Amino acid sequence: MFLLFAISGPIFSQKTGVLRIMVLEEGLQPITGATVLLYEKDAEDFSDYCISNIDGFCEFRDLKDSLYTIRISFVGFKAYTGDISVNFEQNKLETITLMESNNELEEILIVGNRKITTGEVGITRVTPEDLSRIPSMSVDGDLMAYIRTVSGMVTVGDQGGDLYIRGGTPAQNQFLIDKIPIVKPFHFLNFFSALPEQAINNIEIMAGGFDNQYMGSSSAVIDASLKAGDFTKYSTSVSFSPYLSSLFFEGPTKKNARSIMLSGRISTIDTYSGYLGTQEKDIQFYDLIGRYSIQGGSFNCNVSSILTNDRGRINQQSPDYLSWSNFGLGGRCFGHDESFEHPYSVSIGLSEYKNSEERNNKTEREASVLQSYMRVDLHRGLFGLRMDYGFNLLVQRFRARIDEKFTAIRDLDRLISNVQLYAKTEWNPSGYIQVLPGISSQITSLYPPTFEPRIRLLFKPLKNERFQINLATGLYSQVMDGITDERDAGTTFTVYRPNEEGKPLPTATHFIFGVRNRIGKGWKTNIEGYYKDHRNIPVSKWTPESQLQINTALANSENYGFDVNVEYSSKGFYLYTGYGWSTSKYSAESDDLGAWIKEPIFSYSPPHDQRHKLNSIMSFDIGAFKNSINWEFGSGLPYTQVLGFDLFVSIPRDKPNEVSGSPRTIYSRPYGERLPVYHRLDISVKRNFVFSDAVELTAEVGAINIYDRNNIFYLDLNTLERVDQISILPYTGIKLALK
Amino acid sequence: MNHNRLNKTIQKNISKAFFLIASLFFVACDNSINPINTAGLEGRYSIYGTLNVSEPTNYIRVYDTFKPPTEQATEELNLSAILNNKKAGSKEELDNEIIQFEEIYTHNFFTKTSLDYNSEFVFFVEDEEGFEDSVQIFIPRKANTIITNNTDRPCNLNTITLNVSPINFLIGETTEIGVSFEWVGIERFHGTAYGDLLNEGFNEVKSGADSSWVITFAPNKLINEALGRGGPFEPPAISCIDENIDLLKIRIKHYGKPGFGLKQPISDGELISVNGKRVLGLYEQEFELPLNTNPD
Repeated sequence: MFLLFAISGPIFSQKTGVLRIMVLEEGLQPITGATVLLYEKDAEDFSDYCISNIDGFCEFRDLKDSLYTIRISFVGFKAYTGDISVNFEQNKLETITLMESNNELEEILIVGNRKITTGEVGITRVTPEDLSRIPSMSVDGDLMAYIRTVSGMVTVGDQGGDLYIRGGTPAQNQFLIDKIPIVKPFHFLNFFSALPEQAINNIEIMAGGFDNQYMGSSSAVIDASLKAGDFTKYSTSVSFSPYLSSLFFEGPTKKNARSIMLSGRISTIDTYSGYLGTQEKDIQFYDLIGRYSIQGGSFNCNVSSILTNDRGRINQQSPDYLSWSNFGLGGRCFGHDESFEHPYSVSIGLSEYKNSEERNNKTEREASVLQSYMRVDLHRGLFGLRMDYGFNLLVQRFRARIDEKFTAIRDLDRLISNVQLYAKTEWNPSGYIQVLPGISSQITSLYPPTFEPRIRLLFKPLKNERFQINLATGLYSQVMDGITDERDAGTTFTVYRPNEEGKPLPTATHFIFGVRNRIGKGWKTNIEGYYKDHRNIPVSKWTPESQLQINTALANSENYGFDVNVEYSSKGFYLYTGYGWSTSKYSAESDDLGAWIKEPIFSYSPPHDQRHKLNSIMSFDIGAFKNSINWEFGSGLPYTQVLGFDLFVSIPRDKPNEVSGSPRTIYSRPYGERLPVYHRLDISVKRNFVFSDAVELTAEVGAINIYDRNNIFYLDLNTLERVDQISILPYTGIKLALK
Repeated sequence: MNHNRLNKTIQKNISKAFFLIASLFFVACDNSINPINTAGLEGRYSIYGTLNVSEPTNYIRVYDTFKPPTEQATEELNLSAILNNKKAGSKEELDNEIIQFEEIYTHNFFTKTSLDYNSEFVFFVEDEEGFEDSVQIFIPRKANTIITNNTDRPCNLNTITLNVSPINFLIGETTEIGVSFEWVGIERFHGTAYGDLLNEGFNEVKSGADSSWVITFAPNKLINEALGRGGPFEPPAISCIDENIDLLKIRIKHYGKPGFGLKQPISDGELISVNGKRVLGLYEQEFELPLNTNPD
């Protein structure tokens, strides 16, 4: 705390006024992403603007002693206009509550010869509304169902909960939920995550080029903030569908000051999936999320917790069960006391991830990672620039035990501490260019400190917000590795561990280029190109035996591609079409990798290398019915053809009549073939029945894979079985909400 | 009004286009895969086993390389297995003993026929479709072993010499020595020591078609080598006198040159294949060596 006070500093030397704005909903929960315009008195054009952060907070600095007008807008809320006087040498906080309105479809678009917004290349902001448009086997939308529609995001099949982002593997991604690091917040079915529509406030998917405050990931970050419970009134909802049931509750524990939000969901797909001729699915999962929020005059604090559990079989004929669970508990305070020149935030907490694989009720593989963290984020002015800086103290314990058939037991138990430091700033050399440079470093006892400079640039050649060119580049390092058996798409079991001592750390260089354009009313286009160069990626050694190798070889990868997205929205109609082209190529020394290839350096397309991905979402109202259609198309993923099998007996040590021998697979060229293309159409029809102000019923019917396409999931190389994705899966659901 | 009409027209056209594009993909396109590449590789089996002159029954495992290691796939193996004694000119059709390990069925063809030293065999399989595979097996000439053991000396000071001859290392014949002894606390220990793993001077190989394998060792040292004691990072050495080890059993194995599969290993020229064939011919000799555990 001393450091916090010393660095953030009181306002002794302040010479100008500061206006702090807190934008809240009617239930006093913060609104993220609201646009706040500042007008000098009687001026027609605004002089400055800011965007509210996850705490609903933003501020204007260097203000004169004067009267100002502010205008605040956000989609779905009535715009606010009001006058505020700012006194010299004052940090003034204004709390504004926006009223909901179904007629507000557009945010104010900032045009003209003005300052510009933060460059957002590589970043997708997701709101609950975005999630609600995707059919997802239940009444409420879900993050995972949405993510699958985003260009550059690849899931290998519709089960397993692994997400590949622009060539990066799941272990190269970082997931934060209220700043708690959660290793795998996705459920067994790739329609559900631990983040349902009604429990989230805001999600940012950063597919690359992210800034320095995010450390420890070399590919992508998903930063989610949970919704604060309503501070004014209670509400609850319960929903049922054949595959998922949920319960949601929110309300004040002390009116206008403290609130609680609880969300729980449990799958029922193993019970009902066999009806109506649909495939049986032996899958169970649940998630519990809670957030306790406190709003004080000079701070907002929250304590959040998350618990998830998944267990099931990807291949219903296989005796192998996969399980994983997450537990996270964390607290965060955001302080904006008037006596401090700049706001600050402090986060502390821990999380644990466990995953295992069992066969015939015997656990053959298990691994876990326990993480505790303390994070401080600060701000201050320096040479006329805003400086954001902070640190994160991260302690991680990794454990694994591999006790597979035919092999000796292998164990892992490692503990490491990591101090992550960052600083970044924002520089506006002219009204049309914005530069956001930053630097960060990770310091551990095992490796030399990392050096990670990054920069983001934004350029508006037409001098308005309608047309923007964004660039982002930088270096990224990762201390934590995840080792998985790449040869077997039927398992997502991963051994997490620190990078091997003496080996270079996995690093990446990102280059992202984006053009955003708004064409007339309702149309948005976005084109992004990217190049990610990953080095020293640990990959499990390949052997003919089907066992997982903890020993790794180092590979490099090149990932590049582009996305084109077109979006059109008007009242009662929404259309999105996104096309992504991408290439992911790995290379490693054949001897090091254990590849059965005679070439000294072996280049291959990893199993997540999806060249083409096309997604269309259409949502439209017909009378009181809200209809959603989602169509996905993806080109085939690489797989390895088999030449044969062997049951190896170690002669002369072993006798054939006394030992089983070791099963081996004789592979053809690794990933030399591609699976057939994948496509699927999902539909849903939803209707709300409002019985009174306090009682609302929502009913939904829909179907996943409506034309029952036999999409292949993967080829089980140990059994040569073709495992398909979900066949047609009709569903219905109802949700009863009491307010 | 015009704007609204335009919007509705746009929406209608977009909807039509959406359904049109989506319906194009309803038409079935090729959705099949070929998981295993069998072209030109038919009739290849992995074959593992030994033909040991000293064993009454010898087993040779045969595995169909196109069958995945699952219960269902491995239950049946329809082929005939012939052991062809090339020197004697005789053939024997072998019976199959099916043994299930976990969920995998293994097919172990066996012979109870007495085997000759210095003989050559071809193990030959033919499946129902007429595809054939085979492997050669060589049983070496029988070697004589001359033992020098001074039992007057205490075992910890004694040196024993075995002279095994002839062994043809030039063509790939190999040898192996095993040791067994009584030891307090352990009912019976069986150790195997390979010549090249033992200390320098332990054995001497004279190259040549009729070379000798001369093994010179101190019993106490051999016991500790076999037990993995007395070396760096190993438990402390034991003494044959303190533990009253008064008898060593030495087993020598003499392997014939390895016989290769008569077909090429599974590979398409670009790949490094797994060698799925190994059947060795051998015989064993066992000797009892008394030790003097009296320290005087």
